[in-house]
Amino acid sequence: MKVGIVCPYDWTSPGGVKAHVHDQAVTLQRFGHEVSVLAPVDDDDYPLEDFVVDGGQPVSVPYNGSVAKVNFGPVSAARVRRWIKEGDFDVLHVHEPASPTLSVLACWAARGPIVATYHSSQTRSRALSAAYYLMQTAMEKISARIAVSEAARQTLVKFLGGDAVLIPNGVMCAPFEQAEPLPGYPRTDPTVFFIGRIDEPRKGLPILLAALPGITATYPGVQILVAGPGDQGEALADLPEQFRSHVRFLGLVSDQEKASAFASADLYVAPNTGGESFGIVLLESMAAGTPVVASDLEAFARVLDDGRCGVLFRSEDAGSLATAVTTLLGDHTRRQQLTVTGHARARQFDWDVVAREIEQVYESVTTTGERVENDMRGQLVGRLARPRDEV
Amino acid sequence: MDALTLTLLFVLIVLVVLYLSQTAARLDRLHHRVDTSRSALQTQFLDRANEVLALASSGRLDPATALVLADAADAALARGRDSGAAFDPARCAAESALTRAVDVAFGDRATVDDLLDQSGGEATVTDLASSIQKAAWSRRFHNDAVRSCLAVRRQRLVRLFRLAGSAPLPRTVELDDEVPAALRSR
Repeated sequence: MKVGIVCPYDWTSPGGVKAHVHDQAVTLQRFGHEVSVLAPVDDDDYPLEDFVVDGGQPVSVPYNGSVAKVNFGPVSAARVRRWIKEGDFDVLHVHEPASPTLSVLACWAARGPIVATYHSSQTRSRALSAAYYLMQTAMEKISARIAVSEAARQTLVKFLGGDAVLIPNGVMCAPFEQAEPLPGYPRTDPTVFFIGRIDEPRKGLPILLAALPGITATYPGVQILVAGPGDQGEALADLPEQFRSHVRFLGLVSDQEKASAFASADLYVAPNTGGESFGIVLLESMAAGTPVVASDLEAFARVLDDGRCGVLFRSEDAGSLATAVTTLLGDHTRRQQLTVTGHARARQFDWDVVAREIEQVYESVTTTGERVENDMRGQLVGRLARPRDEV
Repeated sequence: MDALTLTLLFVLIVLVVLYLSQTAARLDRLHHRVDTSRSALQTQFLDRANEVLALASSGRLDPATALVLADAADAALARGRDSGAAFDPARCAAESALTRAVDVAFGDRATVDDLLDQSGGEATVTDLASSIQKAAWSRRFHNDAVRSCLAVRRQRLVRLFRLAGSAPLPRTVELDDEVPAALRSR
């Protein structure tokens, strides 16, 4: 099958949706599909993969209360149409189409089998309401909608109308299964791993550090291994002096170092306090065979199958976290059990499984054999922009 | 009437005509989406019944289970051939009955595990699960298309100018197509 995928966000900077599109494209190619990804490219020196087509430089504009990098205007629209024309796709797959990006331009410019994936859970944006009519015309062409989480599906149902099937984010299990521990690990004393921006309170490092004194009472040799960008001095400011030697910072890590860090730790702690709609990192830890202790956010509870595949503690409660960590560190059998159930759980979310489901959605929308084409019907702006590109 | 009024009237007429032509195009697209999703629905539900029938006659199941499944699949296929892609109440009932039969047959994990242990069993289970999943999804996609279409057709101007022409009002397809727990991927 020839599949055209649109990534709405800059391909050259890291991000959840970009990573998702990348892994999706790579897996579908491995299944034997022909894949082309259209994405904004901000950094011209970035070595683009051969399946990526440059969708143009994104522009920074104030949008929905913050600054967003987006692509719009006749030049972008013309690029999208050319890509659709040259691609001759069986399916067009757009990501996050309810935003002023290449995705909505692609929906607008195309007809035929269109699949859309919704990632974010958000409240209704004012901009979206204002452009509702135009957006709706584009949205209505989507033949199949996918939501990556129940929260994202609810957002869709509530604010945009329409229903979606649930296909979660995928995780590439193999690199985590094969990772070697960092030099000097595993230690004889227990190691607890944390990953995330250290200066973003929602990621929960302060909760973990507040739980540290309680953990050292039982495990005086424990180490908190911290990966992620941010000011280290500031992160430690509230931690009493005598506990600071228990914390080791790795800074910003590569994908490979991240996998090795998981393999080095006895436990992974996800003390996030909110704003998580999925919890892909939990799955990465489980793929590496490292048991997870996570706050009882709805998304985390779902990934951990209500505690069957990991331990949940009361969110924002350092005492509850300290108890969960010390109990689990002291229970070797339980840890082994969680390694097994956790790994099986991660395998259910492996990209091989997730991409098969996406493939099934493609099959559901292509039974009539129609292909993706440019669509000019009833589109005034489309008609106006046409001569620049196609004559 | 003075020139200003005439100009305003002219602008108003132009706007209404533009709106109507855009809406007609939009409606045309929506009807097309309803048609293609209905034909996908027909294909996927026939596929599902054929898949169940193939499994029932494969000798991989015990004869009692095989008989229950074959009977339900056969009834669904017969209804499917009679009613075309219409999904009338009888067809929906037959499809729901097939869902229940599959659910009973694979209600406990043991039947699935037993299949998985046989040679080539994994492919059989994957194919069955995939055809059931695809049928369920295609119904969601179809109903989503129907609802979008109905939302536009209910608009006053659309009804007033009969933009939908003689196209019949599409209807959502309601039946039970839940994938049995033992066949779900997670």
